[in-house]
Amino acid sequence: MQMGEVAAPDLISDLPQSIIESILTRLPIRDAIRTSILSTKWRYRWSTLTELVFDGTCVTLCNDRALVEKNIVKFITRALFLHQGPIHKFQLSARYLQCCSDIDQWLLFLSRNDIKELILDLGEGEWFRVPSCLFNCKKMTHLELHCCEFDPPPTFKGFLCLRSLNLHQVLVAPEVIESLISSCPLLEVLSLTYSDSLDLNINAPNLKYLCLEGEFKDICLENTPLLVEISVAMYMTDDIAEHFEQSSSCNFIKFLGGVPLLEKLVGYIYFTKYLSIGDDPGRLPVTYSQLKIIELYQVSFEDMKEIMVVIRLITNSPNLKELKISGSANSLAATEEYDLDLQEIVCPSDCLFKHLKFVKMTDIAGVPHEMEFIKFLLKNSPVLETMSITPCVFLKDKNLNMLIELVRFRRASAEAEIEFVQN
Amino acid sequence: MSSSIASSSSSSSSSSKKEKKISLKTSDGEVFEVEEPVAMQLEIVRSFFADNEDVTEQTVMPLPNVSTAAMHGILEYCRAHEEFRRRMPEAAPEEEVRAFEAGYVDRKSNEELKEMILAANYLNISKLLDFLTGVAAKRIENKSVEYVRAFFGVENDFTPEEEANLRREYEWAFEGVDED
Repeated sequence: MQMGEVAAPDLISDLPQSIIESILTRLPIRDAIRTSILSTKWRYRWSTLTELVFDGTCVTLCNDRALVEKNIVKFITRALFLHQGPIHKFQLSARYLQCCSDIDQWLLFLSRNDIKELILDLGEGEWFRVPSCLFNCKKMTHLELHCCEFDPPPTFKGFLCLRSLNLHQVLVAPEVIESLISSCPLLEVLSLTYSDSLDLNINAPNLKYLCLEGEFKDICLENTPLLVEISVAMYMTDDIAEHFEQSSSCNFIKFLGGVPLLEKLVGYIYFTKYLSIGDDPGRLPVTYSQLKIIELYQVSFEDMKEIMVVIRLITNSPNLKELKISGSANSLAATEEYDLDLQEIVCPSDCLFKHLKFVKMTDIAGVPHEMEFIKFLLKNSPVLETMSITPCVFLKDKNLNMLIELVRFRRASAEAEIEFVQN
Repeated sequence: MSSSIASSSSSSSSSSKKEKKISLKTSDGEVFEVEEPVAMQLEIVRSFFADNEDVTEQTVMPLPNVSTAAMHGILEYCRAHEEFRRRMPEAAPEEEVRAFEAGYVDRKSNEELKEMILAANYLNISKLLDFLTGVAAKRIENKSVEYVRAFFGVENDFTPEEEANLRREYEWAFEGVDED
């Protein structure tokens, strides 16, 4: 330094600890650890961070997979050794990390350090078998596992503080999942994706958000009175289709019979079909007075029972604001036979959708049932603002006919705009 | 005398669409008139007005830890976010918010950034604080120790031996650093 040159002022070392932590947490862990060399003040600052995220940015990637794996293991082990104090959040996202005993040891270390949030996102090779020490983490509030398998010990009584459970491609016996859910009394968020052939009974008195995706044989929301949002995607296999055929219990009630506080419902693929199976529930015991958004994809409009599901839902949701429905490819093969019953069923004359503002229908083939449904909505929605219709791609030559028919429909709402979306 | 008449007449003429304004005074004595919904994003202001019953519209709230320069920056951010919020229920598209935030921060020097972080912390504006600390983190990500030191003006008070030892100890964390 020249004489008279003033050193640049230290801009950050004297920032309050909370801000330093905030900056360090937003850095990739490797950079946070490097700050220990900045100056003596900084030597141990990173080591008391309570959130540790280890992912691909920890080490330099290269083609030698074994080397990368070795480096990651070294990195994480050293970091954990140097760390001081509690670790509340630990995330490991390492697709190329084969199961190794090191992970078991890290989990053991974490289970003794008050871990609250654990995210394990491991490789798609062999499923990682979760060690039993995981079930000793009494303070666990968030658990997320990808590509793992686990089997809790018989002494396990549940995670009493768990609020969020996310299992993605996890191999576990269905009874285990059921009992895990019911033994976590504070559970608010549950996400089960890509699980296999599950027959599931959900007993979760505090559950608010539910996301299910996979091959489910049967789902019963036995005790979920506080549910606010549901998202379900059901995949079909021959097994499941056969099971559906033989079932007689009313799926609609089993699934939606006990969710009076529901605000948003999203159903993909075979969800509507699933709900349509079983005896007619007759008058519904529940009104979905908070339900504002309904999205149902791949609804088969040529199946009267599926249409009834949709109508039953929307006529029991007096405060519905937004409705999105997509047609199913099956409609293409539908006969042009006009089922007169539809006209009678859909028109309880006092049924008005007093709050419905946005309707979006996609993959519409223009078959009579679809058109009747749209007509029904237009006629009974006095505050409708937008009815958006996207015809299905394969029927370009029918678009004009569809449009002509649409234009004739009476509209209860003077503000309603019909938007016909050309692909 | 004349100025007070002028101000009172201007306030009555715009009273039909008058938005309540809150007066905030920075450390160098400048007073900012801030629209109420924007001022309320500053948690410290919100609690001041919520907890104090004798404050009126006339009260000027002193903010001795915030410079005028920092206040300009803070208000720019808060006003833009109030604008985004006003467009609800159509949320402002992600790209627009990102574009604003990127432009906003590009022009700030490191010194300004630090001042804004301190101000946002004092004023207790959590969203802005999160955003700014993220920016600070991004600026030092994957840079060498020397770069980060120079960037933030941190003085290296290790002896050469201490530093060498430390570097050896942490060699596992130093693979693949950027050439600045």
